[in-house]
Amino acid sequence: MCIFFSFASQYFLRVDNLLTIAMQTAITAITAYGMTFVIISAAVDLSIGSTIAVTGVVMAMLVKAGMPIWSAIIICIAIGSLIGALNGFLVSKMLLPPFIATLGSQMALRGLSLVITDARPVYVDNSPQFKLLAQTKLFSIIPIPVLYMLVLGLVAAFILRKVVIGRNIFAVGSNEEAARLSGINTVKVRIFAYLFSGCMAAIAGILLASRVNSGQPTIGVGYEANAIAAAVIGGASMRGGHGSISGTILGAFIMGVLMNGLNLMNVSQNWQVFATGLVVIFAVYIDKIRRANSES
Amino acid sequence: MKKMTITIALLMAVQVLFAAGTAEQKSAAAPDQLYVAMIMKSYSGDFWKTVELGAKTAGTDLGVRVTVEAPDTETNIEQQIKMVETAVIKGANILAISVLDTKGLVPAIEQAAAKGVKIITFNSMIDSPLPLTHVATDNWAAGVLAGKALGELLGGKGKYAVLGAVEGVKNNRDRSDGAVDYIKKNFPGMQLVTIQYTDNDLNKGLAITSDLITANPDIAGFFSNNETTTISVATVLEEKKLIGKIKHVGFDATNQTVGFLTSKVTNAIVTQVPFNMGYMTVQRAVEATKGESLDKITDTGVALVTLENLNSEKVQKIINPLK
Repeated sequence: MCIFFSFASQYFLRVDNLLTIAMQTAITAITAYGMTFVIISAAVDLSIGSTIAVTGVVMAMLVKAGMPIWSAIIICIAIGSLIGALNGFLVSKMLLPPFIATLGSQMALRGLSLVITDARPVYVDNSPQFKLLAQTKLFSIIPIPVLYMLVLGLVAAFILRKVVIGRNIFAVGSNEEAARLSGINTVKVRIFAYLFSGCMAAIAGILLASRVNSGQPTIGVGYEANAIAAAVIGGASMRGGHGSISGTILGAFIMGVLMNGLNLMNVSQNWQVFATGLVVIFAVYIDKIRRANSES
Repeated sequence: MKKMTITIALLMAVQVLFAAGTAEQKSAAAPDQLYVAMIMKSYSGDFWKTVELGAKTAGTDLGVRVTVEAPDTETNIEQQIKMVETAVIKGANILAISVLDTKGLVPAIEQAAAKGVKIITFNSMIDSPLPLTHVATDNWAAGVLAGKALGELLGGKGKYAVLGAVEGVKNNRDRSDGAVDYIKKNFPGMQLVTIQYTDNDLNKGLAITSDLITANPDIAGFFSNNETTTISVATVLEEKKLIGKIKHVGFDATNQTVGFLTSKVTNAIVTQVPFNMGYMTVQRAVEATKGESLDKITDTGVALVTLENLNSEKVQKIINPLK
């Protein structure tokens, strides 16, 4: 795909364009890390887009009210994590189907973000530092969101592979009953997966708010779909038990490259959505065949 | 027992809501007063709040009773239909509506008209001959104004691109097409790179703007056709330090977009006059009940906001009516 685009557009392979792709991918990748945790646990989190909106507007409101940026960040991440933990509680303790529980919280949180802002964007006009959170460039070339994406990716991969609770997510996702019988606290594991997803969504929300210097109550609609697409393109299985952060980041980049390349070729937005859909279907099918071969 | 408690609690909550509703009605209602029921598309954003203010102001000025409501989301057609039915039951003389769907609301409107309620539409049209007039921004004319501004900023030459919000919505599309059509006819030296739509997604708008500049390093101008796309274009121009090098005409003057105007990222903003939309709708409603014949279209006008005229009283009245 990259080869195709580098022929189709002379600008595709330029360093600044590649960095732009990385920046455009950052939000999808960060939210997809969290989604990967949840998908591996054989569940889904549809509330990501709304969590982005809620944390983004709260962030903008706090900064606008004069709170120091670092305390506002901590509060927003705490809110995101709490939302995630609540989702996890609904799914694991109250035994609601993940689709329904998080669809409910998606709607409730969207409503909440409209209510607390009175449905208007919160424009941060009194803190020049606020937009530096997402608009700074490292060594005056690498956009800072790219760095966040990489660092958070490493953290997420570390948790999944090296930390007990991360590895237990795989066990719960493959066979919850077996996991429980082998002494894993499945409730705790599920809550943790959702908590991590909410935390990632909060970070994405803060970054987006900073990038546009305002809290937008309507932002993030449908972002959970992008996160799911990135995770499944990267090999995560909706049945649970499979998935990796490296795969997810690859999936996010495939979507980012596709969109950037088509933009450079002036392909209409409508066809881009169509193309992304085909990629998802194609990638998941390839993955299925590969898995069938390796099992037989 | 627990269930019982919850049920009682819910019932009490409902009762409180009802009490709040009736209290409002009692204070607003007076016998023989003309009643205009206004149903908007949405309650969110400064635009609709300003429409509401315009309508309420007209209500006070003209001595008629005006209620304003809107469905929760811009896709909840069913809720809007219920609002129409309720307005008829509440005894509205005139129903002023901005429909969510050009066809879906037709039966409800027809039933209301059959009961003698006069119909006026505003902002978005309905596929029916019933409305006595349609009060709206002429979006094509708004696009023309933007095209003219961009053409003059660029001195009639160079590449430009248009960033639109929602391709499927005629109001939005007319702005893009009006601008492009005017430029084609009046500034033959300018070349259109593309018209792209963002689904009104801020983040998508950022990516598209940035990629358009990458693919066309010699691009000289942008027209963005609503608030979200204007924030997208201006943010990228600021990030890429292209302020002044690429001219930008935006749409919808809000706190944030006017901020871009004062920091010289955006050169001009075409803006609607939502206050007029609310005010003129109620005005037309009153005229309709007096049996006056109305023009099929009532244009609420647009204005071009620039750094030079930003602080003039006329422009401030348009962009800050809520203050």
